[in-house]
Amino acid sequence: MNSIFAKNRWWLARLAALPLHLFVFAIVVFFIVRLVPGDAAITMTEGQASAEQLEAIRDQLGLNEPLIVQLGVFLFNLLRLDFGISTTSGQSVFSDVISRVPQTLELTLMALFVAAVVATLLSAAAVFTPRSPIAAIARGYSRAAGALPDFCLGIIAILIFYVVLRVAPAPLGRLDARMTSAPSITNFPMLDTLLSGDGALIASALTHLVLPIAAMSIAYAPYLMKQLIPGLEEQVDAPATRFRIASGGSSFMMVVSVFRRALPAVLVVSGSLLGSLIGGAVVMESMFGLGGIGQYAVNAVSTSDYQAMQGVLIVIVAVVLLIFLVVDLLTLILDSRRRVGAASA
Amino acid sequence: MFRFPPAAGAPAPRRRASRLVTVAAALTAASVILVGCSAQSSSTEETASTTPDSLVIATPTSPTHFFYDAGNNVYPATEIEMQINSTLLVNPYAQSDQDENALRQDVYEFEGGLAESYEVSEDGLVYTFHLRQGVVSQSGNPFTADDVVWSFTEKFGNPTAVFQAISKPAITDPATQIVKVDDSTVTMTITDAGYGQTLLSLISNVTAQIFDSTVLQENATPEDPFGVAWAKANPLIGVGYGAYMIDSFTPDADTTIVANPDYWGDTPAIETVIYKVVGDSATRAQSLRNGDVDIAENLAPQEQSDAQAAGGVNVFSLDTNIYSFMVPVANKAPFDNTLVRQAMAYAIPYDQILDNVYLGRATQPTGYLDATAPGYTDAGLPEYSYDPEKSKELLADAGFPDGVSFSLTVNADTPDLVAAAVQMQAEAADAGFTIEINQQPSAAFSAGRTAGDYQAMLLRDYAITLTPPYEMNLFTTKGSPLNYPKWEDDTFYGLMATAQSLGDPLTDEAGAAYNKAEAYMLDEAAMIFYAQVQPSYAVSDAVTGWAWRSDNWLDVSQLSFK
Amino acid sequence: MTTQTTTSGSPVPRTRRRALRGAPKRTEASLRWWLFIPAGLLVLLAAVGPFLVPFNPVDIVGVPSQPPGAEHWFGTDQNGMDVFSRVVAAARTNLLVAAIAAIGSTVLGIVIGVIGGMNEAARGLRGFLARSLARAVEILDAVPAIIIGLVLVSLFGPSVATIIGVLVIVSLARQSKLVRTEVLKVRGDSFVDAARMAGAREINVMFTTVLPNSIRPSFENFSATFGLAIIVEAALGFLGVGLPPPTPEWGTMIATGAADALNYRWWGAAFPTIALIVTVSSIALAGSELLRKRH
Repeated sequence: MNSIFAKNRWWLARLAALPLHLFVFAIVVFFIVRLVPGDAAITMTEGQASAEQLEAIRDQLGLNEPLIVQLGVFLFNLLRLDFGISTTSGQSVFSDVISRVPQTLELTLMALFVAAVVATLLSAAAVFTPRSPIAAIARGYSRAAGALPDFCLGIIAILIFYVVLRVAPAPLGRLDARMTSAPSITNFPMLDTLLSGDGALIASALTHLVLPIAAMSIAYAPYLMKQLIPGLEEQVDAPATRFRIASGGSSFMMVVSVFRRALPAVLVVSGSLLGSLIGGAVVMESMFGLGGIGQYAVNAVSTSDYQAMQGVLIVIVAVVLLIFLVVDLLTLILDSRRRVGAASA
Repeated sequence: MFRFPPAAGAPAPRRRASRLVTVAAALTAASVILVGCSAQSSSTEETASTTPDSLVIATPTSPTHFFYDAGNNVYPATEIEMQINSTLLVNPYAQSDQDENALRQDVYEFEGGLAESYEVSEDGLVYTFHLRQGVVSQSGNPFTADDVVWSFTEKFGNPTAVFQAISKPAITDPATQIVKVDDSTVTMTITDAGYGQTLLSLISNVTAQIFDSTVLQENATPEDPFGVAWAKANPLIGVGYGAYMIDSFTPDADTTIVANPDYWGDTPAIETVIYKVVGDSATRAQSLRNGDVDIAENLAPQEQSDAQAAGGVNVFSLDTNIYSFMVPVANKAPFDNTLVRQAMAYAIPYDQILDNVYLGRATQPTGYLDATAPGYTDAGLPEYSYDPEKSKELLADAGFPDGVSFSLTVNADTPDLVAAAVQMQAEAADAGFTIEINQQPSAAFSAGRTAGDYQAMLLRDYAITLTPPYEMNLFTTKGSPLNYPKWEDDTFYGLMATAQSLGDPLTDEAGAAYNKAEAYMLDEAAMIFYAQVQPSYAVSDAVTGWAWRSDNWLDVSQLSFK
Repeated sequence: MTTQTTTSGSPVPRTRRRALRGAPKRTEASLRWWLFIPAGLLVLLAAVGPFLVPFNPVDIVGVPSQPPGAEHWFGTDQNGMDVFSRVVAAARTNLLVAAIAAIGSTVLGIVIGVIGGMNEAARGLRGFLARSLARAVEILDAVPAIIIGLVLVSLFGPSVATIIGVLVIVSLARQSKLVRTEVLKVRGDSFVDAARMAGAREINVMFTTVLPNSIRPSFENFSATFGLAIIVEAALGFLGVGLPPPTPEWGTMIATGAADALNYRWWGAAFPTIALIVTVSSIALAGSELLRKRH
């Protein structure tokens, strides 16, 4: 029992430290959002308010309190998971944010999954059938990491499949314009749609996701391949592989073992990609009318909505840190040498 | 580079098989996608043909709430608030004489809204409104004089309501000016008969929406004395008396409004209207052309003409009250010098902007006041054109023989203004002005504009209330938050006082007096108007009834399918 | 070549590897210099291109939105500026910004990754600081790039220096994490212990033994970082906080041209996108040749 705890101490400790890290981050965020130029009172009234009105609004929003009092109130409320009320929507920031994070998370997870499948197949082709034309294409494609912006692919996809060929549905959201979305149970829109069991709804939701997910996965697969191809090559060459080959292990087992050992670097990149997409999918989400947390964050900045900015940043960072933790755990499972708690000397 | 040694690797046939599997999987995925897509597109058409009573509008941003006086009314929010609310009076629509497919609001005529009729006292100071009987709010409460008085009290007591800032000087204190006589009669008293036209216009506009005071008072709290925060946070409540009600609202996705069965006016022809948020204007235009939406809002001029050329779509060509203009800020160098402002007025490439930015969907305004107003004249207004030589002369006279450089600030959210700034930068260089473009995100822009941080900026804006005194005062009132030019000129204020002393602003005599003030303001180049912009809507030709309004929103209740 | 300085991260001596693999001798031993030609041409273009363009890249030289033709090879953009001149002129800004950002973030990332990774398991203040550094980098990585961009541009105004700052911060975290992951992997390997036992100082172990064996993934990611720089500029352009117009810059050109592309006026966005793809691929090609294991 004790040894199980000792073995898992490092990640349990990190999980336990997460709230503390977020708390420190929250203090930093509190000051940063107040440095961003803009004035909530002026934004609210579109500049059509007298100086007295603006003062009254700032009073209402608590912006006239001393900064230290504002910070205290913010941190105290934070402990109760109360991020305050958004000046833009009048809703609790917590509920605003919690309802949007799953939208983005679901979209990016699906895109990354497809990207991972594509990357795995192409990398395997590149490494195990080095002389095939597919290998040449795969290597060229992997060099395009960072060269294919997702939004360019999105526009090309809309242009070809919606504007010219007219086979894709309009990029106007998750469902046909006249359909009503499924009742919200999990806040994950696709999952909710599946749970509704409504065939027409599911078909509509799936077809609306084809273009954005194709564009995103084509853009992200090279990032994964860039780590996967050299990693596979290195591992194919590694003593462990030679041992398996020498001892007559099946080639399937060898491929699995090579992948297992090449995966950690890929996982780190996937985690990083997923993390950056939680807030960074905003251009894609807005291009296909999918909504999501990125749009909310950008709107919060562009309306000087301090409460929303603070809340959305803290939640995004919390979600992403959790993703990173999971990635580290998976890395550990794949390669125990990387365990942080392992003695180094 | 390492390649897998064939001899030691997996047997060749197996490798080939796995490659085949890869190809097959890719093909299967592709075919599933395509089948899915084509199945999808056919079902879209079916849905569209079976439910012709619903209209889909593609709109650029998502509303966040539907209570106008709670502030932060992003683009479609105000438009939707207009559909779900009513005002005491309304401006009637008439056929436009410039565009056969469009109606035009007659802003100088008033018809009954929530008030069935009104009359004016002999001295022109007291307006008596007879309220409509038997009207109920969307929450079912009967409409009375208390709702009217309470609504105006809220508009002055709640700091996020903009009415209090723009209603001066017609209404400054509702407690003394707006009085309930009995349950169905309200009087409004003004201090100067010259404000009468502006008063009627103000109370016909979106800023003067009347709310169900019963519901709002029930939900008021000491911190929220008018229930504004509650109304903001509860988008589905019915506190209005408008033609439509909010049916569903998904932030960042769509808003559905349905016809209000208890509406006091004619029941709208279209039962259900869906506002879809489509951030990209080219996508809005394309989905209109593909028939996925019926109306696309806020298109770029190029997209409008493309859509029109493709057929099946109407765009509207008529004069609006929307102006694009440069504000040279007069309280700081270099535009504190009148000659420099005038030089700037000759350094703007007007025709090039109209061609390159607006593709002919805008005209160079002769003046600033609404030209359709009774009594209006454009006599004596200066005519500016791009004249680099004249601009250099004026700069030399101002003491800048080597030219002037300044920073021109634009809001990044207004692409036509950013494009105009680029045109100005390129051409004003030949006229002695070196322009550095300062593009700002919208929140930073509005804060800097109010603070007076910028040397010059480009704006696109309009006066909703179209009466000469209101229009002239809007951007020029001393100390007003809307005085963006920071131009406070005593000669101008003298001319305005003379005009205002003449009472009714729509007589020929008053028209001539306002013309003098207008000519002076334009001569002084307090603001330089370079484009009068045409409506940015595009509407499927299966839909009729589009009307221009002075607030430039779409009145859905006027629309119908052919 | 010594074992420690191979970039493979594998402690197996080269000679033994070759024997094990039994691969035929190949002609790949020397540097394939021709693979550097595309990247070299790009640098040349950035250096002299702006002097050779047919039109002033920031002047209005024709009717807006003209398709590619004899006079305007890549057409004109929506302002009436020559797209060819702008794409060429932008090479300098983009290569400079991306190079500084990619080099800056990679160097900083490597230093942070190695120092952090080596000391994380240490006791006392050293370990605490190393773990705090790792957490701070992780949190930085968790903040959306677009928000970092929006905030920094709002604070310091849209300028080349600000954009470089944004890009370094955005890419830094990923580079240092890639290094850290490798450091955690190799720090327990026998050759590191061997170096210690041979009496090498800890700092030398860190930078001469661990570092060369840990940086490969971050170098692999270098060209991607290069491209990311341009993509982030484009994303900032979509939000209207990129470099001020009409600065020729591929990202902003893509962002403003994108809407036009849906209306069949593809040239405004397509040519800068092609430039972006060619640039990133050329850098990746040169980079992978540099990193290729030679014998």
